[in-house]
Amino acid sequence: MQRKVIFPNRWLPYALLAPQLVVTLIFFIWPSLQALLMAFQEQDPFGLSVRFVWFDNFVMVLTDPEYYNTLVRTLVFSTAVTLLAMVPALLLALAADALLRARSAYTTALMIPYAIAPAIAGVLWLFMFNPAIGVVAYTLQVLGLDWNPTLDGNDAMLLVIMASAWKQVAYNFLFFLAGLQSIPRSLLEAAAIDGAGPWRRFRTIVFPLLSPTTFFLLVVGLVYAFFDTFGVIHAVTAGGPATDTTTLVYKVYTDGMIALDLGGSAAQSVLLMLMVIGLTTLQFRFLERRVHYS
Amino acid sequence: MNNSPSHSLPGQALAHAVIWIGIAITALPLYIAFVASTLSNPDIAQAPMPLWPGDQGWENYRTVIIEGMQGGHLSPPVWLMLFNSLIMALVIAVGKISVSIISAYAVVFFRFPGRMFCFWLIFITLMLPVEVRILPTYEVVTDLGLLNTFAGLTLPLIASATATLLLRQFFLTLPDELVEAAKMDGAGPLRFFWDVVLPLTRTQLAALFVIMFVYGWNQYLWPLLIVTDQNLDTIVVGIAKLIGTGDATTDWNLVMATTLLALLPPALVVLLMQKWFVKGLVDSEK
Amino acid sequence: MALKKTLLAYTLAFAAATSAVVAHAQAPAAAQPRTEIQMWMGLTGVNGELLSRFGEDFNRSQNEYRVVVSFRGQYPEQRAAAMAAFRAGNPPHIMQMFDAGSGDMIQSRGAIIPVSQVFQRAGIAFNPADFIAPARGYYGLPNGELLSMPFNVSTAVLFYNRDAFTRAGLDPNRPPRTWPEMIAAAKQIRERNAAECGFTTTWLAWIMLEQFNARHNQQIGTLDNGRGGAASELTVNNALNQRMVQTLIDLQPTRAFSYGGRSNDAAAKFISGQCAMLLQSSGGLAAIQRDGRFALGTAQLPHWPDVQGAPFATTIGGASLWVFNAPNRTQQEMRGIAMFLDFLRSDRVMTEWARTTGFLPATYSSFRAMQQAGFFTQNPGRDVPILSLIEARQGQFTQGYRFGRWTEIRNIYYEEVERALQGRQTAAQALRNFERRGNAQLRAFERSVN
Repeated sequence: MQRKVIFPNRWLPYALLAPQLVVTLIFFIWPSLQALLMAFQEQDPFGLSVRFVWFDNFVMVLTDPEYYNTLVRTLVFSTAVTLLAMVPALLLALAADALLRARSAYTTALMIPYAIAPAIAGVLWLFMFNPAIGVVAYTLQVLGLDWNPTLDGNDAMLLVIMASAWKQVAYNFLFFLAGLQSIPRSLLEAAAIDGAGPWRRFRTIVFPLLSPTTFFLLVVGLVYAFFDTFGVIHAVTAGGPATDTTTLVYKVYTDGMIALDLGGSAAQSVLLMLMVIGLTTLQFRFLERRVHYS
Repeated sequence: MNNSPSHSLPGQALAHAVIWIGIAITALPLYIAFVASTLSNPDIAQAPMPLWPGDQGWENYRTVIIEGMQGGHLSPPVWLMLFNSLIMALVIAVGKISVSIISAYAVVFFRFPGRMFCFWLIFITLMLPVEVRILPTYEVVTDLGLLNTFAGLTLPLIASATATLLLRQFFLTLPDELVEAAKMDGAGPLRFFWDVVLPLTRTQLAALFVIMFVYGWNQYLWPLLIVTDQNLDTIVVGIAKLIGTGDATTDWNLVMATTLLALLPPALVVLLMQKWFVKGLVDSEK
Repeated sequence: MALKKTLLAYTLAFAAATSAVVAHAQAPAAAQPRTEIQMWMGLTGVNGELLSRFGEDFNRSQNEYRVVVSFRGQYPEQRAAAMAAFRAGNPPHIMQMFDAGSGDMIQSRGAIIPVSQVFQRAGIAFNPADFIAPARGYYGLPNGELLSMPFNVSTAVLFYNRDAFTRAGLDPNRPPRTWPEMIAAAKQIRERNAAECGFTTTWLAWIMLEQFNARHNQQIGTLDNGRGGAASELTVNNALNQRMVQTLIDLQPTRAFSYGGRSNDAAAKFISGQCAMLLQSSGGLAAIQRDGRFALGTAQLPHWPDVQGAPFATTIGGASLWVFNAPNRTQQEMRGIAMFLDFLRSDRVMTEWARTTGFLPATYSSFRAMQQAGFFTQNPGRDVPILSLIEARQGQFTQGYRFGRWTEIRNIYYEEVERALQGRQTAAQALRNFERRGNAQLRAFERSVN
């Protein structure tokens, strides 16, 4: 994607990019290359005995049937979280955008969940849904529903999906609202005068103009669901029961930090990274065409 | 002048209703936290926890604020941790936004060899989760001598692919006429950026500032690794230290009270940023 | 625009202010040229406070060294931090590592210096025999040397709700001693509906695998439970372990047993009164005493009476203190490390530690000191765990174990047994899978350290 009208300067763009590139190279690219190098090595936790093993780690990962179960589980989880986080957010943003009064107060109230640290959010959800002490869990049991995320894999999965989406709704809400606020009122009023109803206005004006934001949130949301949900899963179910809430990123953590299998964990990270790059490239290739930039 | 249908009474009522449902769901965990912060620990442990606030509220908040003021052997005073969090959040937010906005500007408004390569290089930082690269990053920071320093705490976190992506999206939507008009006026790219683009980006910047501020505010893993001096602890690290490990007791009422207090500054930031979410900015600026 | 400029200005001002504050906070340390000793620990709350305070007490007692005790996250995060620091050439002087991580520490030759050697080089007297036998076996070598210093020690006990016992028609002064008694009591509690569930357990792997096998003097792995080297293999798929897991599965439908989660989540079920009995770490006592609203009883872990010689001693949990090997450690620093460790194992510190935190006295001398001070008579039930460690019969396999990747292997145990509890596999299948996957981990570990 490139604008048609641009500035002709030669060196200025490099100067503008320099700060971010420098930090990225030193604190991200260089360490990541080292981390990725670990995927081709076999070593003890303290780095005292390191051996180059070519693709052995990758072979071990790809021939493990549990890896594929985790992959499917992750796709289900990520889709659910992304959808659950985007649709309500859009509805809430539309509602907030339409408000004439008290918008600041409502927006602040809806944004607060985002400000909670992931680990604490996990604890709050435990307080609500833990079969032993949770208030919501107690209510569900009183209503006769058998709620037991400590042993029922589906209950546990539902719990982590809800907890992960909850934080992300606030994030999506904020950006949707910002996007809606930049849509010129004149366009909407003109359409209303022409007789277009709210749904028509949404479909032909709002949604297309919101598409750059939607695209952004979809890309970021996917990355969030794949990676940043680690904190919540760790606090709420620790990947259990059995392996029912272990997603790919959680497996990277357990294999790396718990099992201290640095090579295997790094190999999985490489595969995970390739997957997300692939998904994002697909999004850019196919979805960005439909995005309305002007 | 404002007689669009959404401004009618039923429209407003619907909007309010939707928002209230949203608040009820999103705020439920916070309400539970608030109730827990007003109870005694045995009350919390005896399931089910009551849904109405208890009478220990004053006692608990007093303990957190007043006794927390003295700090302990494990943690510095609460005010110092809040202060550290504030600085971290501000520096990270301002740093990330500044660095990203000029990068996004460069990638969108210029054409130069390696343009898309640079964009993808920045963008790829999203693709590898932090848990994976944390060990090598620690080594880099140690080699640079930045352990236990403020620079070590903030610099590695300054590169932001999200901000660059969002701003790139936004910059692509700006009409060509704006650029042409600026060029005709003899304005260079920097002038155009400062006088035209920046004001137009106001709502995005406000949103980004909130997000980045919260990101900086909630830093846990990185400060834990990099810093050995307690006096640089952030409030989130402080809260983590209140939660007992293993079988040790946890004062959940105090943890909840501290958590809610720690939410106040970010909430304030969200509130203050509201005035930048102003409608009709694009219209009037034209 | 005004906003951005204002923000920038404020940020710079704040940054300047912060540097001033931080510099000031660190000034007292810079005033005296003390040698700094870094100790990393994984404790928070009351326990973390006390250990930090011990560091400050030590600093006040002498002029040469300054010990900095810092929390670096829960044990896995802390361990990762230590690994990163070690690789960067700058590990902490002392690190607190939990029991399950011991195998990883020991098999990585060259990463640590045995604690016995640390004391010896510093010329400070150190008698490993003063530490209680199970701890010595866990963290020691065959020749009596200690690799790490036991510090916060716990073991598994049975907590029970006396009021629920009374309601069920059971004698609260006669808790179950054997598993058949335990099963009968749980069933009776459920039949009389004295509680919603008979018993539950925390730390499933630690209690049902490690403690259970120690209590019956059963081998967990070859090469003397792994102490002979990294080539060991797991040997837990036997009739006794199958019987135990099957019991748990069979008791679920009537809620005579109710699973409560992996770590200490199940304690909440006991504290809230839902479950009448709890298999738990001795360290969980404080939470139960503070938040429970019933009369509490403590007993040793039950055993199966048909196993010859049972009940044997239980094994330990908790953590020990390790000394890292770094190329640039000076003789001065090594001596400081020894002095601080010596301080921590003194009777005065050990007894205060045990009284306050609920961890057990790790040395015989501190145990006797507490006895003489009347602590156990004033606090009935507090002696149950320590007696379960030192008075019960010692056997070949009550000395603990030493396997690499044990944290992950515990996870595998959770996964397989949970699957059995879910009804997706039998106890025998669960243990077979556990052995298979566990051995795969051990083989991978063996390769990585050779």
